[in-house]
Amino acid sequence: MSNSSQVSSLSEEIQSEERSFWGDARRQLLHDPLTLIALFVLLFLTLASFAGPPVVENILNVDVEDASVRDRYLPPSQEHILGTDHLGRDQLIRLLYGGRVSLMVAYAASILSMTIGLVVGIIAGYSGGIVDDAIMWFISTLTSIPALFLLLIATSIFSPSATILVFVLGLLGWLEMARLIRGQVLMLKGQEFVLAAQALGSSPIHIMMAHILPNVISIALISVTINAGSVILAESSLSFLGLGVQAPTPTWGNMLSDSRSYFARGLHLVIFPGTLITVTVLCFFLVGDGLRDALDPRSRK
Amino acid sequence: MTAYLFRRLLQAIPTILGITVISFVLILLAPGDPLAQFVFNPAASPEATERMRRQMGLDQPIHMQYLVWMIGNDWQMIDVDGDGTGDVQGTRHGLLRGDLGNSFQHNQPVLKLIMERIPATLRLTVPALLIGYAAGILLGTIAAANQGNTIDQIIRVFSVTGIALPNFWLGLILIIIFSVQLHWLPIGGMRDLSRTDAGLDVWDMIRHMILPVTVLAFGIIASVTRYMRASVLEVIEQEYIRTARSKGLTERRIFNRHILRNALIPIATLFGPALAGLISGSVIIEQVFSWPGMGRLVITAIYQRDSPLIMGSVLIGAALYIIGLLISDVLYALLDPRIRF
Repeated sequence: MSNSSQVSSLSEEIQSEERSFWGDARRQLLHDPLTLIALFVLLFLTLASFAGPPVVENILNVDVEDASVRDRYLPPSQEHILGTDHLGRDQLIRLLYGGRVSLMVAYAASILSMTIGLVVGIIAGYSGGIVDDAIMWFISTLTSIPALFLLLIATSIFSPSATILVFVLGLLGWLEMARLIRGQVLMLKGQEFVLAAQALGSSPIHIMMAHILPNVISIALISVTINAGSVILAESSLSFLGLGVQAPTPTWGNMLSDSRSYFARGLHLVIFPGTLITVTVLCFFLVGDGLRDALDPRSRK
Repeated sequence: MTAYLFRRLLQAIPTILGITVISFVLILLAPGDPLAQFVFNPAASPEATERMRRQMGLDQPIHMQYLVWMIGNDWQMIDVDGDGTGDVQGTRHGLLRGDLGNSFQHNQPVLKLIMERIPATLRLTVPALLIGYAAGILLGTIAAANQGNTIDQIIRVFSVTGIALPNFWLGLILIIIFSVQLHWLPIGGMRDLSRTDAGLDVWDMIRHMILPVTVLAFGIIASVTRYMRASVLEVIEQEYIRTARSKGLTERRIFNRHILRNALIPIATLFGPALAGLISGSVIIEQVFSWPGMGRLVITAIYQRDSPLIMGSVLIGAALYIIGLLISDVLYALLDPRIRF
């Protein structure tokens, strides 16, 4: 009697001690204040851009379209918290609307890149042989061309709108991801659980989806976060060169790039969009770093 | 070593061929006619435009245009007036014989235009690369040596911020502070335009270089610092460092001979990507500081749909990247005696 109760208490102990990969990762993340802060800032900025504009418009009584010649280059004040731009439009509300576009482009393009990178990387790594050679040749060719040149050519071919930008940045952003995933798949391919699945007669597609994919998803997550930050930087660079999303649609990139013509009249037009871009990109990178610490078992102490 | 280099160069050939195909196709996809400026010119008759089109080979199918671009057409007669017989001797030598074609807008050989601009771009990128690497290695090592304390935290925050800053914004802020407010440095350009003599004024040159080189170097410092810190931390954990310590070597000697040398190896591989990043970065920085380098040439070529010039620049940019990778490999071999070819 006492014996069996001992066994059951022991099994309970094991139960509570049991740790899953994702449980471990969550625990690690919760003990990483910098990553949590960055994540919180990103959530806040996303929420503010997507849900904030109507609220702010009501409270402050401003409209994103409202231009007024009398109110040009106003410094930050009670009425216009972040001042007004060269057409007398309220900068805060434009930054919020611009955040919608910039963040939407960042999220959508990096998810597109992740999807392509995962599919191509898994196929290349798992198939091997000529398929792998062809894919790797294609990737190394494209990575040899300075990325900005490709972006410039692509955006000059299609007149840039937010949707086009998502596709251009998404279709050019998967190379590094595919390379990383392929390397990981090559390593996984020789492991027992894959060999066992093969021996049981599972189809290659089933093995890729059920056995390989779950094991590379953590790398994809790290990579997609950092990629989202790079997309925001790329969007602002393209805007600066006049090949980003065109006016009057505001994005953080084109607001910042507009400001260089007016910095003598209003320094606030230079400072706020630039700070927002930097903070957002910084947070994406910090979250990426934090995820790497949490999801890569090798880096765990 | 020579054999290895030769083999690597041979391996680069399929990549370069791929680059020529991809850039060629991309540019042909572009809507808009390079002859549009002639079409809309009232002085140009439709016949003259047609002649022009045939002479430039734009009436040919895509694969023929690609072939002409690659191997030339100087042994052929071109049928300019469309009557079925050749009229003009072809003039193109093709990429394989070092001819990248003529720029539409400048009407000059692409290679010559690019070669004229490359020194200006190198004058920004080479100092940026040297300063970036030197400062990055130093800061990364200092951060690793102080792992976990305040100095380390400051350097880490600085290096992540350096990567997250849009570099044209940094350039703009530096211009506002140092040129507009303080009047210490010129706003842009490569030399003082009020000087009429052609003589070389080193101080003037350096004054114009300070801001753009700082901005370009900033990004490199940031990324080299990150890699160097991680690399030093990894080396410190190794058994051979413990061995060195137990042999009673001085800390200075352990650091110079064992830690630094080994930690530098992964940094060498960063060189190729860093060079590629610099080529892209200089496109933007040249635009910010009105620097007459290759980047500005590319931008105007793209605005003007000057396809020979765009393709030429893409090709030269890619060639520089591949050279960067080769230099990485050579550095790797120099730093790591285990690697022999």
